[in-house]
Amino acid sequence: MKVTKTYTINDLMEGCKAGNRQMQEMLYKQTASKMLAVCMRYAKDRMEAEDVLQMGYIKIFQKVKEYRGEGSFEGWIRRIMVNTAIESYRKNLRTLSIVPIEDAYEQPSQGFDFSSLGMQDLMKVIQKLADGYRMVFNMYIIEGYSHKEIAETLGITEGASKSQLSRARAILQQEIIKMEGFGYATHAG
Amino acid sequence: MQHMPDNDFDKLFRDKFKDAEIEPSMNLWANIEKELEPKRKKVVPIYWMAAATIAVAITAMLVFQKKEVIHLQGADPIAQIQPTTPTDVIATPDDLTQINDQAVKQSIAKVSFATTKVETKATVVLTTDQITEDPKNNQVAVQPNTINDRLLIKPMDPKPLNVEPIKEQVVVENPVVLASLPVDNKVEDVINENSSDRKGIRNVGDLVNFVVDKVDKRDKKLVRFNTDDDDNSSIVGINIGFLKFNKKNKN
Repeated sequence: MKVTKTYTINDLMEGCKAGNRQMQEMLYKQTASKMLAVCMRYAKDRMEAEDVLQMGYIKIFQKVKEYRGEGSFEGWIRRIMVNTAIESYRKNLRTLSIVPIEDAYEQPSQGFDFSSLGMQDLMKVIQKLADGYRMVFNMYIIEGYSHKEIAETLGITEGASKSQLSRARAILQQEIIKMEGFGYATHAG
Repeated sequence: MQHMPDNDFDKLFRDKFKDAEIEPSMNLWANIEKELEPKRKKVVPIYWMAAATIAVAITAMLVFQKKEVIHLQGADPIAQIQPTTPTDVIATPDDLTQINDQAVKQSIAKVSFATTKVETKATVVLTTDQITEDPKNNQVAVQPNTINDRLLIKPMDPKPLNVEPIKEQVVVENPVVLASLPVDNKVEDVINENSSDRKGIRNVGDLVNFVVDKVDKRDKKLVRFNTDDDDNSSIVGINIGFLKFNKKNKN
């Protein structure tokens, strides 16, 4: 473990620029789990996420020479991952399935604690979203793209981006409440 | 029941995913490495192919060099004689007679063939036509062979001179002028082709010709460039043994 820590991420970056295979592997080992978490948010399942992860790293090693040190190296890697994920989504763009919002939410009678939810739970909920919703939600909420940028990237209108975001939010809340309710139910039972 | 405000809701997701980590499958790096690998291997064959081509070119040069050395003899004296014959012929009748004698000695059969044809003025024109054509035909035929053969055929030029004694000179002069132009061009071409050293080295084409001259003693060089003062040079001939190319042959 200490071996990997003797290199800073900038050392690894320089090594990758030189095409050093060992350095590439170390960079991968240091960043892959974070990047898989990014890919998972954009993918339907783990398999799809790992495909994107692999494509992303290939791209990173090919393009690392173009990295000019603007922003952190990890941020640059993450951006490439996100772009790869979006690209992959656009390539096998399934028709944007508009999932109808269920008319009425089942309102839980008592307050519940969202923060008790684990990351894995949230991941499951996100992955359940329709592809279009998931893209917009990830890009806007987590990555911080503007609606304008999202519209341009995904080839939709700004209005569509906004409405998909609010629907995504609604669906997620509903799903989480279901989950919470289930949790309580199991606790109670 | 109240909904969670959008801002809080968004922040919850942002915080949860900010430093999220999910361990990838064990074999994923191996897959990435495999995909990175081929690009390295592709580089190698290029060098090997280059080395192989050079080796083939050199061996071909060495093998064919020895065989063709024999053809070289007698190339220079011919190049010197050629320019003199056409110009002298035009100049004076005295020279003409001398050359006529030579011509008669060298090719009696051909001369007799010419004289039989010369009967009227009309036939004189015909013969001149023949003269303009003959050198071409002969040279084309001669090209693949050594230069030696070209001169043997040159003696045909004096043909019109045989005609002169019979008819007025005025008639003869015109045909000779007509005939001399193409003949001169051909002679120059032949000289250029065989002695680039005379012009000196002015561009890359000359340099290549010079080097090839030194290395390749064959009649048809490994590479031959046609060059001029404007730095234009174009390949006139290639001879790598199995691959032969000569622009002159096509004319």
